[in-house]
Amino acid sequence: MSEQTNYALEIENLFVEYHVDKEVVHALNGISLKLKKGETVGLVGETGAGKTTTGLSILRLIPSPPGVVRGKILVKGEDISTLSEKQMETIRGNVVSMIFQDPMTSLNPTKTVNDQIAEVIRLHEKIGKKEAAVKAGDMLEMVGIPRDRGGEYPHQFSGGMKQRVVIAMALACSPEILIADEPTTALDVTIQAQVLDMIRELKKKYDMSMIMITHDLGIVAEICDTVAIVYAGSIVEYGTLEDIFNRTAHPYTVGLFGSLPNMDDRTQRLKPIQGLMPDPTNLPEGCPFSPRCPQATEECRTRKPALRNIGGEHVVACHLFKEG
Amino acid sequence: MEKNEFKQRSMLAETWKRLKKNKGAMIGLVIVTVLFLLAIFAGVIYDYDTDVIGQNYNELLQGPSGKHWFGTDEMGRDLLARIIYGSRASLFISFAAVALAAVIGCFFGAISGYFGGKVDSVIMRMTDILLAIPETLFAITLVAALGTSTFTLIIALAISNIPIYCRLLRGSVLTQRGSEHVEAARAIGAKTSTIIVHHILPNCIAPVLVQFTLSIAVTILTISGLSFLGLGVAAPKPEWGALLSSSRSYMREHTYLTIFPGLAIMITILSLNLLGDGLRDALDPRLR
Repeated sequence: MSEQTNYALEIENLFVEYHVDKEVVHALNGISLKLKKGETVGLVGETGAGKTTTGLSILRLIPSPPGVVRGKILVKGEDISTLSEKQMETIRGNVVSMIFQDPMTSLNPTKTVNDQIAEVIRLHEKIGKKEAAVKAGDMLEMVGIPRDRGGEYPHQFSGGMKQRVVIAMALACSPEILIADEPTTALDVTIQAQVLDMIRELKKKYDMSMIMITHDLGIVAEICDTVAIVYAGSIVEYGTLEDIFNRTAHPYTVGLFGSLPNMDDRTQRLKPIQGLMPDPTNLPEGCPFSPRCPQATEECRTRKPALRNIGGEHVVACHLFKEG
Repeated sequence: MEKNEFKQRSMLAETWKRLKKNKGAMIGLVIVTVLFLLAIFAGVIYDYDTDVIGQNYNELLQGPSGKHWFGTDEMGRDLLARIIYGSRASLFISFAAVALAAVIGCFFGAISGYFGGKVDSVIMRMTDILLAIPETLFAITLVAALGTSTFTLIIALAISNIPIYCRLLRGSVLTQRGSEHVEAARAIGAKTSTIIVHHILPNCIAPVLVQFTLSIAVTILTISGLSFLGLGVAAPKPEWGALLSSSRSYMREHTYLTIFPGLAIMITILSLNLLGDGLRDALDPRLR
C-alpha cells in the first residue's frame, strides 16, 4: 500500500485500557510485535493475558467506549488508526480475517451455512448472488464439507464441522493475515488435529501470515514459526520456536513448560505456577510476574524490565538476563 | 451451477414447506384467508344499502333460518351480512394499527437495543410513559381530541401498541448484540445496517410474530369496546364489537344475536394465534 514492507503486520507499543466506572483495566501494556509475510506467530498466555484483545485490536473491534486504544498497528505498512470506519470494513474479512474461539456460537443460527459464507464474499467482491453461492460451495469443499450440505443450518452440523465452516468464512476472501483465536479450544482432541492440519495446509496454499492465539504449547510447537509469550498484557518473551522451546529464558515460560505433564517420566508431579495473574486494574509496580516468580529480586519488584535481546531474535523481559 | 441445487429453494419456500407440516397453522391460515376473502368480497355477496343497513320491519328478530342463516336483528337486518361487513372494520383497523405499531416499535426497539447508552435511555423512558397510559383511555382521549374517524382510531391504537414491540425487540436485540456471531459478522467487515438487518433481526422475529397475533386479538376487542362507547365505528355501519353491544338488550330471548358476533371474534383470534405459533416455528430453523 503506502510503502513497501517485509512485514504483513506491525504492532508498535500497543496499549488497550478499559475505563469502567472509576477503575482502569489495563488489558494491554505496550505490546510490540512484527509479523513477516507468510510467517506464523503464536501468542501464548493464560486466560486474561490479553491475547484475544490483541487480535481484536488488529481488526479495530475493541468496543469504545469503554475501550481506549493507544499505539500503532500497521497492516501492510498502513496505520489502521488513520482509516475511516468504511475503509476498516474493507479490511476486515478481506485483508485481515479472524477465526473465533467458539464455533457453536459464532455462526448465525438463522442463515444457511452457504449463505453465511457467500455473505463474506459478496461484502468484499463485486459478484452476483449465484456466483457467490458457487464460490461458497467451493470453500466448503475446500474445508472438507460436501457442498450439498451448504443449504443446511449451523445446528445441523457437528462442532468440528462448524469450526470448518467458520474457517471457510474466514478464508473466503483469501485474507493476507489470519488471526486464529484458539480455533481448537472448543473441539475434542481428534478433531483438533484435523482442524490444525487443515489450517496449516490452507495457510501454505494461500501464503497467509497467521497469528495463532492459544494457550496450548502443543499447538504452538506444531504450527508456529515464532512465539510470543504474553503475560498480563505484555510480551515477556519472544523468539523463534527453537528459542522458546530449547532455550527457554523467562521464568514464566519455564513455569508454563513445568505445568505440562512429562511424557517420559509419568510419576513426576506437575509444577504449576503458584498464584494467579495480577489484577489488571492494579498491576504491580515492577515486573508483572514478580509476585509469582520464584527468582524475583528486589529490583524485579520495583522496576519493570524492558525487553532485551539475548541472541538472534530471542528477546526477554526479565532482569535475570543481560543484553547480548 | 447445477451443483448448488439447494440454493434454488428460497427462504420463503423453505418456511412454507415447514408451515405446511403444521396442521394447526394450516387450519389457522385457511380460516384467516377465508375471513379476508369474505371481507374483501363482501360487496359481491351482499348489497350494503339493502342488506346491511336497510331496515326490514317484516322480519324483526328472527332466529336462524334458511333465508337468514344467522337470523335478523332488531331492525330486521341480516346478521350474517352485518358480521361479514363488520369484519371489514374490525380486521382492517386492527391489522393496520398493529402493523404500524410493530414496524415503528421494532425500529425504535432495535435502535435502542443496538446502540444503547443515552439513545436507549431516552427511547425507554418514552415507552415507559406510553405504557403507563391504559390503551382504551388513551384511544378515547385521542379520538375525542381528533374526532371520530377510522384514521384517528388506527393512530390511537397503533401508538398504544408501540411500546410493547419496542420493549420486546430491545430485549432480544440486547442478547443478540453480545453474541459471538454478531462479533464474527463485524470481523468479516459487515456494515452496521447489515448486521442489524441480517444478523440480529432474523434472530428476534419469533417473539414479535407471536405478539403480533396476540395484539390483533386484543385490538379487535379494544375496537369493540370503543364502538360500544360510540367512539369507534359510527352507528349504522356494522362492526363486531358494536354488534355485540347492540345485542345486549335482546340477549335473553335472542341469544344468537350475541353468539354469532362473539363466535366471529373468537374464531378470528383463535386462527390468528394458530397461524402465529405455526409461523414462529416455521421461521426458526432450529425447530423442525
